[in-house]
Amino acid sequence: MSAGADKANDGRPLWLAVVASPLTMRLACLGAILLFWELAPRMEWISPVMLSTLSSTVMIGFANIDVFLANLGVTLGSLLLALVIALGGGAVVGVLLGSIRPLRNTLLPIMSSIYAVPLVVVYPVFTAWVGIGVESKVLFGGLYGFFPMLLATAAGIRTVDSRYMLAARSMGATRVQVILHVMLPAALPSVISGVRIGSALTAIGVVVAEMMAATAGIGFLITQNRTMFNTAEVYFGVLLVVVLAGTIDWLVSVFERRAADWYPQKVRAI
Amino acid sequence: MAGLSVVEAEQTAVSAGAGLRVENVTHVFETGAESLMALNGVSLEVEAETFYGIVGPSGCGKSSLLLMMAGLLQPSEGRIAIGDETVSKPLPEDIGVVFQESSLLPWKTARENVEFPLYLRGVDRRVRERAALEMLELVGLGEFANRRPHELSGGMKQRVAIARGFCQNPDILLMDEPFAALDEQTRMTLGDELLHLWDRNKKTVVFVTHSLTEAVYLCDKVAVMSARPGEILDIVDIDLPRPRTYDMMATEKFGRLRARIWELIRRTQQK
Ligand SMILES: Nc1ncnc2c1ncn2[C@@H]1O[C@H](COP(=O)(O)OP(=O)(O)O)[C@@H](O)[C@H]1O
Ligand SMILES: [Mg+2]
Repeated sequence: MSAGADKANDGRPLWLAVVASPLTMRLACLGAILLFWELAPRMEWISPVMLSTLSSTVMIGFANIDVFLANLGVTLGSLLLALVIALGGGAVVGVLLGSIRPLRNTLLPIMSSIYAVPLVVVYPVFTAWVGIGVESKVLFGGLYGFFPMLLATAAGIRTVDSRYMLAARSMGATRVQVILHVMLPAALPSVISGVRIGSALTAIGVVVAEMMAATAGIGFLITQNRTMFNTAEVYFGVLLVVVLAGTIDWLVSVFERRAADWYPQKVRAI
Repeated sequence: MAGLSVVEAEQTAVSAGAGLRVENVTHVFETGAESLMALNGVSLEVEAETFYGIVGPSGCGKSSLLLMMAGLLQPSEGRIAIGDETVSKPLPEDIGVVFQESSLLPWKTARENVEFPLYLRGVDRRVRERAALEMLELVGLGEFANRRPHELSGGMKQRVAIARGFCQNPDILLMDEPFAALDEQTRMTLGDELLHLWDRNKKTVVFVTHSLTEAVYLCDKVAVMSARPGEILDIVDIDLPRPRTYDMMATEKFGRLRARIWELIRRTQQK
């Protein structure tokens, strides 16, 4: 290796730059976790009844892949419907509450109080009303993600810099033009963080609902195998939920990079 | 300026080469229990195509007065008028505003920001794009047309804001401390550029500043306001010839005018 290549990064040796790069570090952490997962039950640091080894989890999972995929499909279907309620409903109500002062002053505090309540406690009541079919988990998941989406949207609308609105009005913008060309774009970063939290919570809501009372879905599968002490199946289900959550988060960041590239990423809250 | 003339053709302004009259305007802000008088009986006659300065201690109501001139704030008493028409709402074809700090929309490029007033009034896409690009060329930012505000320096952003004001092409352009956030060298350069633009495309300009040198250098008349509640203390005629040049700053006359304004402000601040 030449001296020049050695000093590629801030005068640090190249090998150090590669080893200390965030990506390398992230992969190393992931590798360590996976290694621990394999070794801990194998070496009996953790009882195999509590935690199955990574290899047996994956093997059991792929042996029953058709069952898992069918249930994952059920979960995804419910999740998509729940996301429509959470993100669509939250955005519409958020815009209304954020921009109409009387509504904002009366309803917004109530909404943030409801958001602070752990909604899981009302799920039994919920199932009494709508049963334990698809409707209940769609509604429950939707409700779970609805409040953070609503609050983030309303906050984004409410905190739009008043200079932008004055400038737009002085240039002749109508009320509708102000909403379309100033308020919504200005609120976008906050709305996207609402999408991020809202969709994660919607996924939690759907899976939790499936775990508590359902007849199909990944959450149902996890609970069912749990009662039968099929540890490996339980963990494969968990693994699928993790992959699902990671995929949603990745999709949101792709959307964020495209939609709000004018927004300094460093300031992003969550 | 072909771009501007195209836009002008689309425009049906209420009055050509309009001036602005402020008639005995008083403004009281009601904030909850308290009420705060910001302006008290202000009258100004801004003749068409003059460069009219307003100076006064901070908090004396200059920005509020400008908002009222723009039809964005209703005076508690008195009225603002263009010709016979009372200004009671924004009149984008008659009055434009360049705000203190950049009020450019951060998600729009420089060009999109400059053409925004034309977009709002439904000007055809190609016409408004050309007008915006020409305006950007004029302020020396042709190459930066596709940059977003956060990629531009403070001086560049204010240039874009001024380009937007001229692209909107109202008869009256209100400017609220447009150079306040800039360093002295940049603000002097931008002052010259503004005079140059104004010379090619005469408008009535109302220019609020806290820099006395800037006021004397740019303006035909300077209204000096008292501390809150703002009243007009005096209107100083700046009878320096145009075009203005830097060497005028070293003349005795320039110094006398500046000192006259300073004397008025000094007294009101001691009050
Ligand atoms: N929207 C408002 N509500 C209440 N008070 C205001 C408002 N806008 C300005 N003021 C007050 O009115 C006075 C004049 O403000 P402003 O017009 O911004 O002064 P200037 O531009 O000369 O510094 C200040 O005391 C300010 O605090
Ligand atoms: Mg001000």
